[in-house]
Amino acid sequence: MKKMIFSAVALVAFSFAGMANEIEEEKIETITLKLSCATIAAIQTMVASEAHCNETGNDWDSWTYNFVYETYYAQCS
Amino acid sequence: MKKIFISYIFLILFIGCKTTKQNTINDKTIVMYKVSESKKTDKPIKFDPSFLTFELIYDKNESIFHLVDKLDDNSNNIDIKITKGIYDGYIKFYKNNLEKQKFFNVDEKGLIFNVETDFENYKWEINPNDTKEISGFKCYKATAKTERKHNGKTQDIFQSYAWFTYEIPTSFGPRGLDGLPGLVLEGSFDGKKIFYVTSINKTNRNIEKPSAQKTISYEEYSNLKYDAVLEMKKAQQENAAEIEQAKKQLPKK
Repeated sequence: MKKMIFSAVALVAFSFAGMANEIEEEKIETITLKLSCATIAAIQTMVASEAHCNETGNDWDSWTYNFVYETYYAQCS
Repeated sequence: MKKIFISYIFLILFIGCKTTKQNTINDKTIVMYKVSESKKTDKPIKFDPSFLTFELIYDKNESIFHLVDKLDDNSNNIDIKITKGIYDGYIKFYKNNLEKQKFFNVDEKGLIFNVETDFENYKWEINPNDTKEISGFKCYKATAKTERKHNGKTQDIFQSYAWFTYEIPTSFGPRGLDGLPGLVLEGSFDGKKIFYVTSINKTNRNIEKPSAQKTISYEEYSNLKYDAVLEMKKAQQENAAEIEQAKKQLPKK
């Protein structure tokens, strides 16, 4: 199956309490996952569907959900 | 004398033809519609349909309803593509009362279908007490239950409705919402996406019957669509672990 590189950047903040002065350090951690187009499209559709429901109070029927999924899938592959 | 008589006959025929043609032109009407969600919200919407405009062109016998596509259809903007799809912007609805023909024209993965539906696919119930004024016309509410089936089994049930006016006596309406004793000025197939009128004018535009590579029944089309839904669900089940792992990386709201 065709793989796509999916990168998520997580911001992890570490706080160190020093004896003399307080130093705050930030570390940027890059998490790289290899995901299939089916997974990427599924997640994009799920997020879009939830957003649409929150914004309008209406959910999508199965045909509409599938249309959105296939559009994202086509964009990925 | 004979020549004058023949010239007179030709003149009468010429005027007659011209008048008939003009009447035909003036008999066509163009109705513009917009679409919105049933629940009004102040929140910005990701797939906001406010940029979409639809037109219904009809005469005595036939009608066509489709999106007025002002934007480049090959636009790479994924949100625009999805918005058009959600609000049926890729479908053309055609009806011919003389031929008792009703179908919609749709592009499914590069193959263009004409999907034939029952000529009277809505079993409307008109409520004479439920009225409201739309664009200066007194409208009555009609409701109908619509079902979608997969291999004969009901999958989805929708509460369709239409606000129509007896003042414009035609049986046509937006998005295939038709078969009533007056023009539909507002209506919804699924009770969620509402098509509403913005203008009504005369037109000399042609009603172009959509052509397709394949004609299928609504039942066949419905089976195709639900097969695709099942395929999607199967792919999601197969990738369930991967999806769960990736979901954990999504930013928390």
